[in-house]
Amino acid sequence: MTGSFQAYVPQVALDQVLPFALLIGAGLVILALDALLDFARGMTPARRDNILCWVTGISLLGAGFTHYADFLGANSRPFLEGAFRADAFGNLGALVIILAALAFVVMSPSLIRRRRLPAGELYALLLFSCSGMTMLTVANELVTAFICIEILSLALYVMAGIDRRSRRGGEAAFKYFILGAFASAFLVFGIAFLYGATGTTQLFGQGATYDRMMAAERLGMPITLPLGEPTYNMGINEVLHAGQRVVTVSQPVSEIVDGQVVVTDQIVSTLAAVNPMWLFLGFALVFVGLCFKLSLAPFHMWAPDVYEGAPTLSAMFIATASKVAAFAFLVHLVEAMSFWSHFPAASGFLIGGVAMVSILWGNLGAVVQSNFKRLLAYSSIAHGGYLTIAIATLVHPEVFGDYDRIERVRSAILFYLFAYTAMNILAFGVAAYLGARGEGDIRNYRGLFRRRPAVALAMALSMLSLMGLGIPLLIGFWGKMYVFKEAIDVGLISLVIVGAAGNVVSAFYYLRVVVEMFMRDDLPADAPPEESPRGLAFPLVLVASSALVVLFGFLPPLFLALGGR
Amino acid sequence: MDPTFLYTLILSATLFTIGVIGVLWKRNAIALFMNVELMLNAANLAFVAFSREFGLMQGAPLVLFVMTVAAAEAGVGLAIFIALFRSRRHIRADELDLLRG
Repeated sequence: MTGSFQAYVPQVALDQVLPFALLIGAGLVILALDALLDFARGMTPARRDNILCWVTGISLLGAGFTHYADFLGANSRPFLEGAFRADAFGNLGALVIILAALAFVVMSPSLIRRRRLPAGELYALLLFSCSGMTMLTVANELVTAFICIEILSLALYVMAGIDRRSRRGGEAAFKYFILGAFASAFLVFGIAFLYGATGTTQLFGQGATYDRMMAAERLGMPITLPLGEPTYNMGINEVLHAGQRVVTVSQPVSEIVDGQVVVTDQIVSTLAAVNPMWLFLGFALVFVGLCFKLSLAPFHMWAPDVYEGAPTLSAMFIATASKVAAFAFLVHLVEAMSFWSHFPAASGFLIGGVAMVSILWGNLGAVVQSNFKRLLAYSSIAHGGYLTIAIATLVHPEVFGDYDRIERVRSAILFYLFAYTAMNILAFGVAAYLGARGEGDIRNYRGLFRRRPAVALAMALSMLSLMGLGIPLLIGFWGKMYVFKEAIDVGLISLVIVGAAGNVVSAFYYLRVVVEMFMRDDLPADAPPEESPRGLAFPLVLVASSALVVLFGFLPPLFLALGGR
Repeated sequence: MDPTFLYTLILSATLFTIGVIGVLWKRNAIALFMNVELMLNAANLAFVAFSREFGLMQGAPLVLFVMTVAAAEAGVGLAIFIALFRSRRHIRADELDLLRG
């Protein structure tokens, strides 16, 4: 045996893994500090929580900077054996997630004090879930993506139920966990079928193998790869482009070297057709799994219960960051599968149907809600539907191959995600600021404008922006505008009509909150007392997110300009 | 196509379906979770079947990742169940109705 065996040594570039390493490392440091700080002299629980909060915030800022640096030097080449691929879209998505996490950290001390939560665990879980989310935005391999989704989900389940004294929190965590695990099983079963159909779990390959395969195919011979050569650097993108997948058989091959027959143990690869049924089954199952995570109707049933039962800040983080991460992954997945010729027929229908049902169900469901957090949950289901219109645009045959347009749709999705995050930080932030009064019945908001005009204005800003079409010069308007414009351009008129109708319905419940705050004054007798925390933390977040909502409403291209393109 | 491969796939799909039906029908939290585990293992079986049929090596190791994730999920899930049991003395999913709009 004189096989040309080369030891395969994976290469790890430190600068590429730094953003993830920072977050995971900081999470571990928080766990250690939480245990060790109690031994420090003169340490009180309040001071310990304060230190943990600062460490978390600073590490998040650090991760944000590394993502931004990554973005500026983005080369979109897969790294870590093709497990990740940090393109501009993924890096900016990670920045939006870190923004939500920072808002959480700044607002968290008063929540921890008020509900006596374990700070160390909460911050560590936040960092772990944040690491899972940021990794998911740049994931380039399906099983890596699955693990990222699990990292973020497992941390979020516990964050939903972190208040052990609250019976509702426990119930929320339970429901979130059961349906989340159910969704994960769909996801991984779908991944198995995508793997079965294409022979790879990578989204975008490194391309070298593909070139060689094609060369061998042209010569009409099976390609032989030496042992140890990674055959897995062909991605779903390349496989679907070729319409053919690699089938590998390891067998002894005889070669004539210097007039002698030498047996070399080699891997022989041939091409086989992609099985379209498995491909569709795989994609549909993965999409259904993601729909659960994104709380898209008809897979949304956990969202209202979890948002209501979880601590408000956890609900904010679940509503914003986890959706940004899952949408970023969905965008990368459909982008990798863009060569799939069956996309338009069945899958486009599936995606468009989910978008339609989500918009209708979310908006109609929100109308009948009396609890403010449940209203936000249904509102987020509807917003997920609007975003799914953009996904349906992305898989539309007309977009195929038109890279300018793909870039525009991706920018629209990113801008919408950013807008959605900023608006929801504001809405949940006000609810958390008002404490028990803001987290319950909407009628408890009556007379808020008279008592606290600034807070009422911030909430009104958020509601009008969430409404979207109707109030220009707010961020939500442009988010929807971009998404609808791209959808109309490719002719998805029916989806846009449903979206516009949903927008009209949404005016009813968003304006209802505004009316309660500004025009009604008869606070219900059972309204809990107001318990606004002192200090600058909440005003800082509320002012900052209000500024984002207004500023980017005036200058929507600023977001893309800040992004450098 | 190798018949063994086809049988394995059919078995995997059957296990997955049993899991889905179980999650939708069962009421006890532990039983629900067992069905989720069944679905994950059905996926594992599919991974191995595809991996073997096409002579691709990386399918089999993926199973290890899924199993690890399943173990982590069990850890977190059972902790949530215990916390819930402490406050209510039962973990029947259909009797958790504090949150309903």
